[in-house]
Amino acid sequence: MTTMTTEAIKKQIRVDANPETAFDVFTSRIGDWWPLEHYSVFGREATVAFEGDRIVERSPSGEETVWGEVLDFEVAGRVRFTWHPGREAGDEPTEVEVTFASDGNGTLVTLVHGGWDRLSEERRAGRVDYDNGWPLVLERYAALSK
Amino acid sequence: MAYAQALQALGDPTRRSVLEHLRDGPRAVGEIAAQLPVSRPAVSQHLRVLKEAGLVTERQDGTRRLYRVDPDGLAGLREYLDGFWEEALASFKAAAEAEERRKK
Repeated sequence: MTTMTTEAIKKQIRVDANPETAFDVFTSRIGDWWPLEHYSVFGREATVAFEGDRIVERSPSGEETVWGEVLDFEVAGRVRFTWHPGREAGDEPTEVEVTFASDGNGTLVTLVHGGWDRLSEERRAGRVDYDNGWPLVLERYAALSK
Repeated sequence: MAYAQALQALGDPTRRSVLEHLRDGPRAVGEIAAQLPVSRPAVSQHLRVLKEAGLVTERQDGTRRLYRVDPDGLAGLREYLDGFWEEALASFKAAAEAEERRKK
C-alpha cells in the first residue's frame, strides 16, 4: 500500500508549440498561466516567477514565498526543481521534473512529481511504525490551496 | 469533494500538529495532548474535525479510544494533487499554443 501511495505522480500533455516555445512559456512566463486564483499562498492578486534558481511567489504588498529551487535547467529540454510551496526551503521538499520532447509539429510535455518515497524512507529510518508520507504532502497543499 | 474538507481541516496549524503526532501510529487523546501546548478538550475537538474530514479514524481499544491516520482519506488527496497538476498543465498548454500562434 505504501508503494502505491508514494509513487510519483506523472502527467503528460501534448502541446501544439515547438519545444523552445513550450519550455520558454513554462519557465519564463509561468506567471501568465499558473492558476494563481486556485493555487497560491497569497491569492489571485499574487505573481509567480522563476527568479534565478528559485520559484518565487509575491503578494501585491511585497511579501514573498519560495515554492522551490531549480536543480536542472536545460533550455528546450528539461527543468527540474524542488517543490515545497507553503513551507520553508529544505523542509523535506518533494521534486518536480518537466521534460519537453519534440513530437511532430508539437511537444510532448511530461511532468513527474516525486520524492514521496524519499520522504517516507527518511521517516522509516527513525520511525518504524508509520511510513506514509502523505500527511506532510497534504499540509503543503493545504497551505497552497485557497 | 472530500479533499476540500480535508484541506480546510489542515488549514489550522494546531490540527496539523495533531495529525503529525498520529504519523507514528495510533494514539489516545491524552498522549497527543501531553505533547502539545493544547488542552485535552481542544485536542478532542481537533480530532473530531479531522475525523469528519476523513483524515483520521478512531477505534476502541479496551478502555482507550485510539486515533489513527486514515489512508483512504489520504488517497483522496492524492487524487486532488493529480487534478491540481492537470489543471496547471491545461492552462500551460493554452498559453504555449497562444504564444506559438503569435509567433507565426
